[in-house]
Amino acid sequence: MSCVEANGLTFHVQELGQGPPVAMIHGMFLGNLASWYFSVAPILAGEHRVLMYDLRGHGRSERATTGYDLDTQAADLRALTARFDGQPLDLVGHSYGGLVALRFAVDHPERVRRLAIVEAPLPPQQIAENRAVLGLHPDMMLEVMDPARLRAAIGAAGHDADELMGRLLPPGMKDTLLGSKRRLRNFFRGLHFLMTETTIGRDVEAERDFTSAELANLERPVLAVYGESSSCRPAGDRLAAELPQARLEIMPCGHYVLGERPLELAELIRGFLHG
Amino acid sequence: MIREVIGEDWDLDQPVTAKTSFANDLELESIEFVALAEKLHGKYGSDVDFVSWLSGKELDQIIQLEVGDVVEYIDRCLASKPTA
Repeated sequence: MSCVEANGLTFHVQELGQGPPVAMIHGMFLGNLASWYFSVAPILAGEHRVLMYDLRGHGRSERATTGYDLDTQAADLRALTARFDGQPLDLVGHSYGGLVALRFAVDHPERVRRLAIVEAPLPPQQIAENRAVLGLHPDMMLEVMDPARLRAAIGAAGHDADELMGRLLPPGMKDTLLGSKRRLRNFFRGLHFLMTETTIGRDVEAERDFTSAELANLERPVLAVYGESSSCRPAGDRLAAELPQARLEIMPCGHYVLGERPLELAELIRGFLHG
Repeated sequence: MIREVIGEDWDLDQPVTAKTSFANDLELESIEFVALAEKLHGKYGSDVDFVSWLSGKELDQIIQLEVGDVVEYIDRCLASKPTA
């Protein structure tokens, strides 16, 4: 496994391809670098050197208990991309990873060439998909390793299990997880850690929104991709209206564009980075 | 190699065969597919482009993958490699 020390933590990183550098950032809670690794990254790797990493506390990166705010995670990104020797970067981020990319670009525009934001929520708290996760009782996640018991427990907490799982998990992932006790257990272990042993919930709640002035001053081409049925969709309209060089693309799917429309998304981003 | 990817969770009482399914028998997670890809790259280099091969598949196809499918893919890549 490729581990890198950056910003005081050990991160799991992967690289594919050769060419101008791109950093891809996954979403918080459910994501890890595999989200990009098996969807868009292989297509970009035909023309780019693609860097992916597991966010702090996610995947196989170090289990950090603090630092889930955008400033700290943008500093993680800055440290991890130091390997590109000051070459301007393209950034691609999904969900909260899109906000990490946006924070980095607003604070260090000289380091960024182009920015593709997929389904980033604005304000940062405005995401029903995350709220569904945060609303679950953490103990429920650890105790319930059996799909039938999980459904019952979610139901007992006042949710419709199918509706909640459908909203929570990317299409396909729900069946994949429920089909394996090991995957389900590890998945909920990861979530349980984030929600009981870290500041992630508080950090998301306390995150400040991007100001209109910050957006208006970002003189970089931005591609904003949103799903037409996603709760984040209004953020796409705001980015398109307030960023000076933004293009908005609406896709026929929900929040998890990477899982639902991987090839279309890959072609869209590839074309944008090329242009 | 597969045992290294799964690590301490390894509790398979059956031997791994060509018919062993990554997702159903080994219960691999997505991040472990990444580790497998990294190990294959480390062993075979760019002759075997496991990532591109996987990325061309739908999720349900990946779920159905058996060890024999990957072995066959590797064989095909190595067979088509021009001999020096």
